[in-house]
Order: sequence, then C-alpha cells, then structure tokens
Amino acid sequence: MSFCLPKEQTDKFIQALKDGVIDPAKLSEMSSAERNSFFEKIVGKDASEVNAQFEQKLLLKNQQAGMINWAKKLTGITEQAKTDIISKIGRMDKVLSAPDQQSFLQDLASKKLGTDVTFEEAQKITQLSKDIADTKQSIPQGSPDGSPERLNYGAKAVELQNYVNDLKSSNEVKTAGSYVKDLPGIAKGVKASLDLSALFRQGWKTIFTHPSTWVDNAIKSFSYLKQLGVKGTDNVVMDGVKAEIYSRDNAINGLQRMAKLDVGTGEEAYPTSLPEKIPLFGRLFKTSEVHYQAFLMRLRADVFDQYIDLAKKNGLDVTDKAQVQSIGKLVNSLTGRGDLGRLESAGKVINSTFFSPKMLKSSFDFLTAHQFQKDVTPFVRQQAAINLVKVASATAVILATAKAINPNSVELDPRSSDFGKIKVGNTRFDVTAGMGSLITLSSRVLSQSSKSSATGRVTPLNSGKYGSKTGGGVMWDFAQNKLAPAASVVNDVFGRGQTFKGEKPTVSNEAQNLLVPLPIQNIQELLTTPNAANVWVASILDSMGIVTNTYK
Amino acid sequence: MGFISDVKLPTGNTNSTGSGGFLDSTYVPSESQSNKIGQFQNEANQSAQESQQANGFGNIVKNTATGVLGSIYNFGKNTAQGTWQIYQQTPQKIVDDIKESAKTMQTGGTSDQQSTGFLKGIFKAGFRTAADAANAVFAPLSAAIGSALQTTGGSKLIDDAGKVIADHNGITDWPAFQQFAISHPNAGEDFNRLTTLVMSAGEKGKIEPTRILSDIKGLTDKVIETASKTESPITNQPVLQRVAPEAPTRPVVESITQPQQILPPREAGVTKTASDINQNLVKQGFDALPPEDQAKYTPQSYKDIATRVASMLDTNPEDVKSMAKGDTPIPKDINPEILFNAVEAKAIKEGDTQTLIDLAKSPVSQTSQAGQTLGGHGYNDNPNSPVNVIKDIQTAREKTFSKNAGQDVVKAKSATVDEIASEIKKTAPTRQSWSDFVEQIRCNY
Repeated sequence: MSFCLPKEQTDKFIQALKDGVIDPAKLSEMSSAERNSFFEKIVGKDASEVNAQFEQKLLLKNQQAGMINWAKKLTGITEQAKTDIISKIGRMDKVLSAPDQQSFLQDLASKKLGTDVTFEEAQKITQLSKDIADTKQSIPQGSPDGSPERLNYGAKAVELQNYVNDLKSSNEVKTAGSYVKDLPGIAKGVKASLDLSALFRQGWKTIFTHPSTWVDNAIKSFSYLKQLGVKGTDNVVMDGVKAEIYSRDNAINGLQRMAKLDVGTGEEAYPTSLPEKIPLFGRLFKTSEVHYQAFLMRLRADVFDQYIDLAKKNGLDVTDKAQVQSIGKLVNSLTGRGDLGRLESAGKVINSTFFSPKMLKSSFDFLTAHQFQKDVTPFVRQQAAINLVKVASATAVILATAKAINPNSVELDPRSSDFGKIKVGNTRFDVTAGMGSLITLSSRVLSQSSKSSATGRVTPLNSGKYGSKTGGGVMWDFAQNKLAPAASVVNDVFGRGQTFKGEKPTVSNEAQNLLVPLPIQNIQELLTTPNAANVWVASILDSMGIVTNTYK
Repeated sequence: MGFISDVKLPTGNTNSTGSGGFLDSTYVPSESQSNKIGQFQNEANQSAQESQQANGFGNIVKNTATGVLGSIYNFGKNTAQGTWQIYQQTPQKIVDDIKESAKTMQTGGTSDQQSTGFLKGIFKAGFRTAADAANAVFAPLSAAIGSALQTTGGSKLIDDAGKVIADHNGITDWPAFQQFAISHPNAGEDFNRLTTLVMSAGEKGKIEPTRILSDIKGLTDKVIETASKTESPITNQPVLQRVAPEAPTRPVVESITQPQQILPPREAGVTKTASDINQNLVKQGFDALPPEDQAKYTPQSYKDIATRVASMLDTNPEDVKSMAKGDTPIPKDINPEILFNAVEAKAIKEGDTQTLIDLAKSPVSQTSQAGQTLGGHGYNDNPNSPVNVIKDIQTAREKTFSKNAGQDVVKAKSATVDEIASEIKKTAPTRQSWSDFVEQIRCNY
C-alpha cells in the first residue's frame, strides 16, 4: 500500500514552505536523521515516511540531475569515460549522506581525471584474476617446476601483468618536453644496445660460481635470438620466460617477492623503450634488450632456487624474511644488480647520472663479500666469500695463462688501469667484468700512488707538485668514467671542457658519445688505433660482454 | 702394332679338332669372355681416337683451359664446402666445449683433485671455445688454404712427409706417446686449435665491416640452430600454447610447510559444499599473506581463525563483505588480514567486480599495520591480487596525471568535487518543487 500524507499535514507543510519555516536549500544539506527530526515538528509521526519519499522521489533525482548536468559538460575525456560516469550516477539507489557524497564525488572526480579504474577494466582484471586462481588451484601437489599446469598458471599471471602495465601507461601523454626528459634514458639504452653483453658482463661471476646454470641459460638465450629476428615475437619470448619464472614454486609461495629478487623489474641498461620506435635500429635495440633481460631474469631465478635449496639443506628457515632477503641480495649482486639501499628511491636520478650504478654496487658488494651490508645473514656472508674465492681464483688462472703466453699481456700492479685486463697490442680485454676498476681505485687511494698504463711510471698522489694527481682527483676520474652518456656530455661541455679522449667537445663528437652504440664505437677504435687486436675477435668478445678498450 | 696385339687373351677353351693343323689349337672363347674382349677393343679404339685428336693445337689449348678452370672450380667448391663444414660444426663444438668444461668445473670442491678439475675446466672453457670461435672466424681462410693444398697436391706431400718423419723417429711406437694418445683423444684437435689461435694472433689486416656482419650472422645463425636443437622451450605461439612442457632440469623444490586445511564444524543450514568452498577461500586468504606473516601463525591459531571466518562466511557473507569494505567494524577476535583476503578470494571466485573495486577503496586495509608495511598493498603483496592491481593502476595513473597536467592530483580532485557540488546545488529542490512533491503525496480523502 502506497503512502499518502493526510490533508491536514499536507496543508501544514505547504504553509511552512510559504512562511519560510522550511528552507529547501537547508533541507537538502541536512543528513537523513536531521531531516527526520525537522519533519517531526511539522508532520508528526509521518516524518520518517515523508523524509523517505522526499529522498527517493525528489532529492535523489535532483542529486542525479545535478551530477549528470556536470558530466554532460565534461570535455577532454573519452565518450567511454563519460558513459562510465553517467552510468555510475544512474546506479545510485539512495540519497548520499554527507560523507558518502564526498566519497562518491571523489570517485567521479577520479573518473574525470582519468585516474580511476573503469568498471570494464576492473571486470577484465577480475576475470584474469579468476583465471589465475583457477589455474593455481589446478596445479597438483608436488608438481615440478616447469610442468604444463604450472606454466599455464604462469602464462595467466603474465597476461594479467601485461594488461595492468598497459593500463598504467594508458593515460600517458607524450610531449616534446617528455621526450627531452627521457633523453638520458634514450641515450643510455642506445649506447648499451646491439650486443649480448649480459652473457659475460652481468653473467660473468656465475660462470665460475654456477657454471652449468650459466651454460644452460647462455644456450637458451641464443634460442631467444632466433625468434627475436621476427617483429612481434619479442613479447612472446619475454612472456614465455616470465611465465616459466612466475610459475616456479618460489614465485608462487612468495619467496621471490620477499627476497626482492629482480625478476620482471626491468634492467638499468634499458630505462626506456623509446629507441624501439627508430626504424630498423629499433629491431636490433629490442633484440638486445630482450636477450639481456630474458637471460638475466632466468639466470637470477635459477641461482635463487639453488640458494633456497641450499639454505633448506642447511636447515635454515626460509620463511625468515631476513634470511630470504639476504639470499635475494646475494643473487641480485651476483648477477649485476646491487642494492642501492636508501638511494633506491632516487633510482631514476642516479640511473640517469651514472651508466650502471647497480652493476657498480653489485661489484662492490661482491668484492667485499657483502661484509659492509647490513642485515645480511651469516649463511649469505659465507656463500659470498666462497663465490669471491671461486671468481678470484678463476680470474687469476685466466690472467696467469695469458701471462704465460705473452708476459707483457698482463699487468700485475693493481694501481694501473690495465690491472685485470689482458693486453693484446693496444687493446685491453677486461676479464673482471668491470670489478678491476674498483680494485685499482682502492689500491691507488690506499697506496697513495698511481701507475700510468701508458708509460708504466708510478707517481705519488698528493705530492703537491704541479700537475700531480690527488686522492680526490683519482676518485673524481673514476666517477667521471662511470657517468651515463647524457651526464658525460654535460660534464664534457660544462665541467672538464674536453672529451674522454682529451678532444675539445664539438657537436659531432658529443653526438657520437651520446648516441653511437658502444659496440660500434669499439669497432671504430679497433680500426683506427694502430696495433689494435684482431678486429673480429675483439668486437665479438666485446659484444658478448668482455669489455675491450683500445688506445695508445 | 696396335693396342690389341698387347692384349693378353685369357685362358679359354682349346678345341682340338685335329692334330698339327691350323685349327688344331684354335681358341674358342666363352660368351662372357667374348663380351669382355669386345669391351677392351672398344676402349682401345676410343683411346686411339682420343690420342689422335689430342695431338691438335686447338685441343691442347682446350684441354689446358678445361683443366685450369676445373681446378679453379674445384678450389672454390672445396673452399666453400670447407667453410660451410666449419660453420656447421663450430656451434656444436662450442656447445660441447662449454658443456664439457662446465662439467669439469662443476666437480670443483674441496679436494685437491677436484680443485684441479675446476681450474682445468676454466682453462678448457677459455682455450677451446676461443680457439673454436677463432676457427670459425678464420674459416674462409683456413678452408682456402686446405683447398689449395688439396688442389696442388700439397696436402698429400705434407701427409707423406709426416709419415716419413714419424716412421723414421719411431715416435708412434713409443709407449708414452701411445698412452698419451689414448688418454687424450682430443689432443690432435687441441693442437689444431692452438695453431688457429696462433694464426689469429698474427691477423692484423683490416677487415671489411660487411664481411664481419655477414660472418657474424652466419655464425650466430648456426649457434642458434644448434642451441635450438638442444632445447627450445619457447615457440612462436600465443602464450597459452607456447608454454609447452619442459623437462624439469632442477630438483623439485619443497614448498613451504603450511598448515593443513582445517575443517570447521558445519553451521546448520549450510551445505557441505558451500562450507568447503568457504574453507578453501579462507585458506586462499591465508596463502595470500606474505610468508613472514604466515609464519606468525601456529597450526592451532590458524585453525581457530580459519574456523571463525569460514563460519561467518557460511552464515552471513554480506556482513563479512561489509566488514572487509570498512562499512561495519570487524570483531576484535577476528584477524582482519585473513578476513579481508577471504572476501577478496570469494569475490574473485564469484566474478564480483564491484566488491573488488570497493575493497580497493576500503579503509580497512589501508589503515592497518600490515597495509603500512606492505606499502599500501593492504593485506597481501600478491601481484595477482585484483585489489592490489586496481590500487597500483590508480596510483600509477595519478602520478601520470600530475606529470601530464603539472598539478597535484589531490588538489585537482578537490576542485572537481567542488564543481560537481555546485552543479548539484543548482538542481536542489525549490519551494515550487517541494510544493509539487507534497501535493503528489497528499491523501485524496
């Protein structure tokens, strides 16, 4: 039976409106309870029913009308977004209280600004999450890593991740200014491309600590290359590798995340994917990037699994956060991803300033066997020490072999920048994956002397003689050599006033420094420097991560 | 005297039909012997004819040219075949080198013998792969040298010389040499590698970049081909089809021991299936917790909380949902983390998008201690959690908005809320609409 207000009360109400006792504006702003008490004074026991009718038939419709008017006037948003807003307003089934209204309007504002997740997007996310939950449930107990059921789950997880990544960047607007901001990243990506350097650079230490794992991954990484030749298959390769990693037991049980293992987080050498858009070069860039990322991701996951196994065999608690995070640090640093600690939050700035800060930090952590890192467990310190001994011995054997073949090819004095390198003619092959430069820096500072790689003369630091080097100068030189391409150009032009080779900065040579990929620059050096090593051998080794430097 | 006169007839049947006469010893060949004789005669005639023709000047020139061209052709063919053969073999060689070296290195450990094996492995890896790579780089050159030696007869000369030297000094008869050859079957190959490395050290000439690229490409293609044959886990197919089963290469990792599924007493009126489903959802909620949070529960404390939450989901799921959304308070004896995650798991299972959106906005997870430690992710750090995902997308979009618009997102939202409120005010009920409304609900009696 529908409600009606008796004649007497109706008249009273109309009279109150006429007298100004009822102020429509104030009534609209009142809460439901306040209106109830107010109406009680006018219509008595029927107050709550009058209020309910008022909210449903008048106030709700007015609120909706106001909001729809606002929505219709909106410009600069897609029709879909506008429809989504109007549909949300239409779904209102009751008048909003003041706090609810605030929350509801905030939602509408988010939709207008494009920061909200639309219902359709959320629906797709829900479906993908459901698929993930279902495929996860269908993994039989004890199913080994790599089983079809696990891979099916991994594939679904990758599908969701890809969808989410697309949504995250969907409201990005590329302007000329944003391209300028991305320039340091573009320059770094271009410089680091056209090679397979992760094999012997970031992967170097694992050759000696986990040789069969390295070999397995190196071979697999070549199979990725075959597919990368075809446009559109890059994502297939990456997705496949990610799916396999995400489906592992240590990913599903959360240990990879707890350890902050760097899988699927991108590599510092490729901070932007913009160079992919350059015709032809983009293909080569993408190929290098995918090879680099896929190889390192899988290597990291494999080595992590092995350390978790080892920890379990040693009776350690792998649900202990400190233990697992220590293992994560060990594995990340073993594969070229050092932990920047508090500086992680400023990672973008640091990454734009230096070429590979995480790689440098990983070298430091490795050489010091994580002794200076806080919260590292004894197990990890022990493993780090074992790794250090393995890599140091292997490097010594390589250098000793080279010295036996040619006594002049190896420099034994750590104060020389040739330390840790095999010299063939005027070309130096770095067999320390960049760690030699840290040893040279510390040797120079500690011994307060430096040995020239060109003349072989040893000169004391801080001697006070004109032109002599200081300890600070040695450190500054080291830092300058580690600068990212864009920062290096700024330093050349506004800082030291010359290029790395000692030339006057010009548009041409700085453009080269900024945008010519390192492998090409290396071939140029090999071809133009007298008494350089065999160009083929040197360029192949360099492109695979055995960094070469050629100079007189 | 013709060629035929030199032909020695085979011993055949001698037919003696008389004595001392012409036909007394006439040779009568058998049918097969007759055929052979005919063949010999034909060959003899052909040779005589060729010999006659060859005496002409034109023929001498023609034959010489054919011979030279043939030699050049054979040289080119042998060089190409040799190069191709090296390219074909090199990838597998490198793979084998690395695998064998890795195997040797992997034995590295504490004992002296193992340490030697480790170092030996490093040496083998470096030396053999470098030499095989250098061999591939110099493939055209070494194949050309080999081909030239073959064409000119040089290879036979070298072989013969080596045989003479070996026979002369008797090295192959030395027991030590024989022992070495048995224990080092790859010694010969290693010697070739060493010569290749020596040869590569002597290479100083400039090399055409185009040649470098094509050679690198060829080598890479072969390496890829061989590597693909070894193992090809990824195929060019959509994600789902792509993930073909791959033989596990690592030992199966034991999963973290988690409390077993607890079955609480069933509430009256709730079917066993529904109760089981809710039990499972609570377990999923528990599994979604970070491992360190899971570790805080003992099997008994987990059993208690799981039983309680599952029971609430059985009897009054809407109330539980309301608690997770922050609309109603959560009882103090209920752990909000598990409740929240169980509601999320239920919403995922039922495809309840709106609840998931509401959970993403829920103040419950954001104000909790767990929420703070997980960086605003609420009660789990599972990257596949739709609640987390929705929050992540919103955060990312807010950052992008600020970047694009150059203004703070909170201020922008606040300004928009004011705009909407002002529009609502414009449509607020007037005296007339109030009057009309009251007339509508007036009783007709």
